[in-house]
Amino acid sequence: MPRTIMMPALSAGMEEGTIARWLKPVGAAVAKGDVLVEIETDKATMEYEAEEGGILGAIMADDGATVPVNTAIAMLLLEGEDNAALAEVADISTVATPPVEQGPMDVPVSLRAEPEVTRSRRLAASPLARRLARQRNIALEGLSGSGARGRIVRIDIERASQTAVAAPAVVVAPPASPSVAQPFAPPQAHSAAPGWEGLSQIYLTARCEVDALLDLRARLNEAGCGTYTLLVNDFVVRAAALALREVPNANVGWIGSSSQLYDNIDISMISAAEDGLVTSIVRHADSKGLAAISAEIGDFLADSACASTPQGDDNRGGSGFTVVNLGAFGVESAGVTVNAPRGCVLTVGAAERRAVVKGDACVPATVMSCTLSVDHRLVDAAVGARWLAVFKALIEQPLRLVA
Amino acid sequence: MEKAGIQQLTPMSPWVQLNATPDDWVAADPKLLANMLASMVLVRSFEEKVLELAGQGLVHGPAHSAIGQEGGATGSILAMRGSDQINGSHRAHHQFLAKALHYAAPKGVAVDRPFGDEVRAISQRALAEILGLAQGYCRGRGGSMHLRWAEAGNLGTNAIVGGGVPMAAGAAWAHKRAGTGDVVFTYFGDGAVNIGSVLETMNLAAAWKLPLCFFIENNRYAVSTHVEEVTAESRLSARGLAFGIPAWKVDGMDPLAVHLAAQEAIARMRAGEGPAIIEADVYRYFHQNGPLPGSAFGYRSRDEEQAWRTRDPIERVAAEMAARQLIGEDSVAALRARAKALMDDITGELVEDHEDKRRIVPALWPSPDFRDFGVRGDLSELAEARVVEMEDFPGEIVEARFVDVVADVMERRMSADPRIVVMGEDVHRLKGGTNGATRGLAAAFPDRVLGTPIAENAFVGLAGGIAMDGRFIPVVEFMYPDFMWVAADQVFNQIAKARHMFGGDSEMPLVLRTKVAMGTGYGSQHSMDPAGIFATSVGWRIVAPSTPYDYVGLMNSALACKDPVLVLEHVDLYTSKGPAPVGDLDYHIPLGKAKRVRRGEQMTVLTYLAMVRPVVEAVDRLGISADVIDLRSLDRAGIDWPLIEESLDRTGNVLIVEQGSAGTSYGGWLADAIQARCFDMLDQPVRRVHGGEASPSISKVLEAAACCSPADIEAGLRSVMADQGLALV
Repeated sequence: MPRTIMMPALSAGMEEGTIARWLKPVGAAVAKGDVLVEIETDKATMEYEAEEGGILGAIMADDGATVPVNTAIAMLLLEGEDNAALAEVADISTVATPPVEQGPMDVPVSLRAEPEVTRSRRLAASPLARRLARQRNIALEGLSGSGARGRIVRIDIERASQTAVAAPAVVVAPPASPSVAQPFAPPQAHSAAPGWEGLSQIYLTARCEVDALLDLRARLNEAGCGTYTLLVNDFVVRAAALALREVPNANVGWIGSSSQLYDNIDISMISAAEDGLVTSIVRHADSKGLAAISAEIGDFLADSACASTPQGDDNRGGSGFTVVNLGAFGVESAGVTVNAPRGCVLTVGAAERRAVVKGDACVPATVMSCTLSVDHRLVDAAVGARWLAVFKALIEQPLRLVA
Repeated sequence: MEKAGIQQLTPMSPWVQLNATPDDWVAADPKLLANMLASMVLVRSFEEKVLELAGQGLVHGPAHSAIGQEGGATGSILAMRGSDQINGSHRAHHQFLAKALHYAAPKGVAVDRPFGDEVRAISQRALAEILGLAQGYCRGRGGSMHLRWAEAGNLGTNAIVGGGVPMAAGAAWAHKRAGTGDVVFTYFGDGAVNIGSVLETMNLAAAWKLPLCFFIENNRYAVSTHVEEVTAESRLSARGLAFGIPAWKVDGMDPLAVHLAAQEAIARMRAGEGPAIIEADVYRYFHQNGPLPGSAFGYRSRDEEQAWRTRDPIERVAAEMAARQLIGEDSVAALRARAKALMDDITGELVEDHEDKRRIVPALWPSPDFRDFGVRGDLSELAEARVVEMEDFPGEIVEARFVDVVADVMERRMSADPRIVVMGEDVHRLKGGTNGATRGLAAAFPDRVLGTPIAENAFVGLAGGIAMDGRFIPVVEFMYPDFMWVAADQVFNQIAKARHMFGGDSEMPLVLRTKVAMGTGYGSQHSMDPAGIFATSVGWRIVAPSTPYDYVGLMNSALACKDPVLVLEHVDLYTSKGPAPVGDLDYHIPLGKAKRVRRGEQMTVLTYLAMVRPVVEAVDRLGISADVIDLRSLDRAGIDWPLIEESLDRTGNVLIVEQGSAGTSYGGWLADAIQARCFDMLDQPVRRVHGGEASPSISKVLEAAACCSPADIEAGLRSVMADQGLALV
């Protein structure tokens, strides 16, 4: 069998070599150690020596040919062999030098022309402003920026949220007591992000008996010896929060024009004050006890009474589930219009002694009317009704609120 | 011919050619010759295996073989004792192995018995290192060019030509100071003889009489450039004449000649007579790297290669031993076969066949998460340090001149810790150097305050070698920060990278002091703030104290730290007065702890060194409610993110203030890190105040214009206020 001489790998990573020139012609006798051929790489030229003796039977890569490593470049006839032996090694033409394919230049991806991407000019707002706006559900569109080149910065969001607090995006639907309806200003255009068109609301009302709650409240306040004074409202906030835990689909609102299911259970409280409305928010209300909720709301109201203008920071927003308590005004019930960013508003009326039919008897009971207004695009009636049922059960079995 | 007015001068040091005579060969200890033979055969087999693996594409990166040069390394190393040390260059497998073998088998490797376990272990760990594997001496980090095994006296080899030479001088300094009598050999080639690191170190080693042998392996070619093309005096040992270093020239293909020269050099060095030079004429049979001969690249002829091969050092020793009937041909062949079998065997532990190809056993690679391990230490050395911030200082605080406190704390530390040694230009004169920062130290510690030649690269590298040795703590002064460029290789390639490059656990306890001199009219080449450049060099810690009180605590921490620490000083601070402790110079301020010096809500100002005071003044003058944070620690690991993030979360706005010019400025990377970490806290882009584009000029007016001024600070503060919608009137 003749020996096939391959293009050697002269160095690590060498993939191909060029035949500089053959130093022996076909038919020449070759001794071990004779230089057969000079092979060039990109840096070096190497003399390639015969590893054994014989006759150079065939050259398959001529001078100047560039061939891959381990490709046959010649055949060496060993002692006693002649050209006929070459036939044994299949058809030489099949092992002959394949031309080295010079593929199209591989252009690095980064250099290829990219299709022009058209981008609308982004509203300039600082990262901090964007974060605060997101937290407070304030739309950046329409705000004028005080920063460099009109960039919207933190101070612009703070100003906008003060405006929003002074004129909350909640209006009382008629009919309502004029003395209460008056402070409710029409919503700001920018806070009606999803638009008034197609706004559909559902109002669901439940009457809750609160004698047990009032009794528990009295006992708890007595036991507290003045360290806290629980209001009915505190029970309502806690019950609303626990009901949301059970019916999380009611914990929704808007961010810009998209609906948002909230992870945290935060309850906003809107209280009527002499000269307007005050919004406070109890974060993670489901994980706070009655006394904590009471203290938080109390602190907030005290603060806002002292401050000449309400302070805006990210603890005082007005998103999420909202409770409006109109009981202090003697309002029996009201359906409040839900406006973005809110998804649900619970309006609590006054607790009043009424005749309630139980079995066939008519018995006196203290009853509090609670109306859940839902934005129908976010919450359907079934979810709202379920939430209200859970809420009513909690209010009527108030020990569950201290469990 | 004598001529009137001409007097012949002679160099102060001898320069000789040493040849081994036939009598020397006859007199040579048979055990020595056997050891030489075994050592060289092992080294050769090892390197042939490396080239074989390189040919298979299994050595990532270059494999610089010294096949043919073994006589120089083995001949000299067998003249050493185990506690002597060496370092080398990119071509150092032979020196590394010869030293390791000599250390592990001090009585010699036998030629007629199987190799011991230690020979196998050394070979395997060295090969694993060259392949980049976790079991290597440097956990695969160093590879072929960074081999370190400190225990055996292998200080670490170097890929920068001549770069290891100053470090070797540091080790020699430590031996001299410790009085052990140990010596250091630094090996390098003909290509390194013309580089500054080597020549500067020759001068310094001779001036300080260090036990350091400059061993030149003159193999004639720097890659493909012949030695006679690049120097007029190609007998390279002649360099010694310029520095008063005795020099021996020997035939490196004759290991006994090398050995005899090394013995003479070592005797002189151990006797405290200073450095030596040995030039060994050797030849690498192959090209710079890889398995091809140099002739394949056309820069030398096959005839020349053949001529050198006929003088092969292994065959020479075998022949001389045979002539004395110490060994037979068969035994030599058996020795070579045993060495080859050993290398095949250890390769089998590291390499496997996989789908018709050879590959590294995958489980042996280092884990990718080892990438950054050990770029710096963990500061556990400071865990017990007594930290006292100024607000909590129980004693009296007085106003003191900054520069006096600089000298006082060093005096205090040097009294308490005899390991500390101070070096730099003029630090021992002029009543405490050019600024008085080393006042009184030379008088108190005359042998520990060293005035250096003007050769920053050599003396800071020497200090690096002292630090790595570990017995002493060098404190280097650069008279001006800009001189870091002069010393850049030692500062950034050697000192900064050593711990990481050699596997992550060797220490580098070095303190570099320098003073920012903007405002003194020293012009373009003396007026930089180096913090920005040092901050790019992972490995350096940087502190920049703005008060005498902080200086004391930060210098104490720098001196206790096992990493290199740059301590920045400032000429404006030197002459200023600030709060300083009375009666206690031993407390620490932690590395990596910034300090809030003003509290406010509208912006955070980050600054350091001499800019702290003007920033506070400007904030007060404008009535801005700003958090002003004196960074104090400036390196990547030293940024006090908890403090900065707490501040930025409140203020939403940040201004970085520094004095120096834009190009080398510090704040750029910090701004990037802030935006990456704190983007959602920001109410405007990270803002910066710094000097102009050009280096400060000498003209007083131009210099003032080039540096950050109080007006620039005020403009920066106003701009940050305006861009948050709170423009100041």
